[in-house]
Amino acid sequence: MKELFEMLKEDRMLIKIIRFFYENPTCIDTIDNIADWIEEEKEPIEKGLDFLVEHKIMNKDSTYAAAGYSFTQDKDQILKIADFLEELGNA
Amino acid sequence: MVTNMDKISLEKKVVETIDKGGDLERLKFHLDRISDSNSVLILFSRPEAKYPIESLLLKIKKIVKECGIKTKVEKISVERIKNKMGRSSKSGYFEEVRCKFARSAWIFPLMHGGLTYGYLCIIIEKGTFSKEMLDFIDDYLSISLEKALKELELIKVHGTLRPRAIALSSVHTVHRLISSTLNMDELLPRLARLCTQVTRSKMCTIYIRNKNYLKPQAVVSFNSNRNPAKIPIFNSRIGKTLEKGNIILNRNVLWVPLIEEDIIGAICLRGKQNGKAFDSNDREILSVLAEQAVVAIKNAQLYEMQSKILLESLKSLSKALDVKSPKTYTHPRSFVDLVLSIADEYGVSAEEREHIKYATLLLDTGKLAVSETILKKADLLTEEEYSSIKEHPLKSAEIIKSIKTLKPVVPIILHHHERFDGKGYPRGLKGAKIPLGARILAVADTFEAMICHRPYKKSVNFKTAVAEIEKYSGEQFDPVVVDAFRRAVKKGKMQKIYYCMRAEIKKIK
Repeated sequence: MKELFEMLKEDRMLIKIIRFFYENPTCIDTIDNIADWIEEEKEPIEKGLDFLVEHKIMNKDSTYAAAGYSFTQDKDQILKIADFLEELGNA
Repeated sequence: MVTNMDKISLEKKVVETIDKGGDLERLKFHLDRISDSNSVLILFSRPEAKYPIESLLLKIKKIVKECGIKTKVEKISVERIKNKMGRSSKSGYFEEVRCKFARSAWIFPLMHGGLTYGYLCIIIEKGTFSKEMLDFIDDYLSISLEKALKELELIKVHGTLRPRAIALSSVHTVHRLISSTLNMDELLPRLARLCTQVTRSKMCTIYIRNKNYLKPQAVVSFNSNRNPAKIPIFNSRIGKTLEKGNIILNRNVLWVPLIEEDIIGAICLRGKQNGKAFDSNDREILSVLAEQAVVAIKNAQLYEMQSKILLESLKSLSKALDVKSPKTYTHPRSFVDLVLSIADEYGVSAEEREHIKYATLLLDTGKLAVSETILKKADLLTEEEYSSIKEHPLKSAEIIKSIKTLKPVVPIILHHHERFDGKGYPRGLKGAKIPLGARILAVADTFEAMICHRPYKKSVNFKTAVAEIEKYSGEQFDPVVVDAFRRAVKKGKMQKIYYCMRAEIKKIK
């Protein structure tokens, strides 16, 4: 996890996504809408989200009709993310 | 209910907004020009009026110094200013202050809707304010105050609008995710997971009605090993309440019934992850999700029923083929298990699995059009007879394609005699161009043909049949499918099916 956060520090897009979901933990939404919420382009967001799903920071539910992304519900994971965001805020 | 703290906070915000808005700078500019003097504008929010004189003294001294006015600010003058603040707030009017350090000073209360948000103290070094000037300043400050209040209102609305928009969008996404699933085994766990996500609950259980009970069908739980029990609908308080369509909202539990004329199930949430109580907002969201869930569940149940009817019809059709050509080119019942074992090892989707199952039952439908003499022939077939046999996939597809719901099954049936190297029939498709289901059936069909007796050849043993499949991997068969077959053999699945098949064939004989 530590290495992951070190990697994330360099990626403005991923930080934006994580911050949005940390502030809105009940959100489940599609790539298009997430792009609207954080005011970024769709394609890099899709890559970012899939990366975060791979590293279990995000969850993905998909059917033929839609794919919905949501924040992890793992308590320990959330605490680490909170510390990470706080560290970024203080930097 | 607005508390005193809320009021103080609002007053401070209003004063800050006026301060940052630039209106005071503009006012000072005009006053200096008109009075040909240096004016000092000091903005106070109401609680500051309760501060000790000393802190007010320091503030006024600092500001006077910053404005370059060389004068002594005395305590008595500051006391007068403070008294005037109190008076103006009672009277609602501006109050004149006579100070030793200023020729003319006025206190203007910032009032709107009967509330005092703060005070503006205007001090000019020389000259005095005319009545018209005072009226102008009073109007200017009213407009400035109104502007600040509107700005704060907008910020507040925006602050609540965005979270609501995000919540609405989440509900819409959940609706799409659950409406597009027709498989109950997939739908209910997904629904449970989404309900916990949207409400940030520790646990969600989806109950489905089974006669007079609500039985837990899907449970998603974080940090809990609870196993929910079934609920009697008519013999329990919870059951009776839900049956009437009522929601149960407690601190740590939220029950919402799934109603479609009668109760068909229920959603139960237990505990919020942040430890807070469930509230009306959670109830509202879960009610909306429950309404969507009812439609999704009914659709899935109907689809299940329809699939069952279709499957029974296909089995009847398959039996008809059996009657037509018993003990010949027909597959034993366990052939379906053989095919699905390979498909499961491969990891096909649930939908694809259904298609493969139907294709397996209807594989040789086309043989109804083939002469029985050819089907039962023990010797080698002539070229003409072999061509007739080779047409059976086409004939099977022809028969099946008229049934709309079986449309995805047609390519599997049509191409189950293709070879991976492109040397098969009827179209000579190669590699991945052959539908996956057909590639799986090719392996199963050949394996079964080897281990079962045919009119024209004897059967081989299990080991030999497995070796033959592996031998032709990459040529006749897709190597990935052969790998799946190999894994099924390793797990002992194929052996079981082999013995079942042999037993079935013995019975037929």
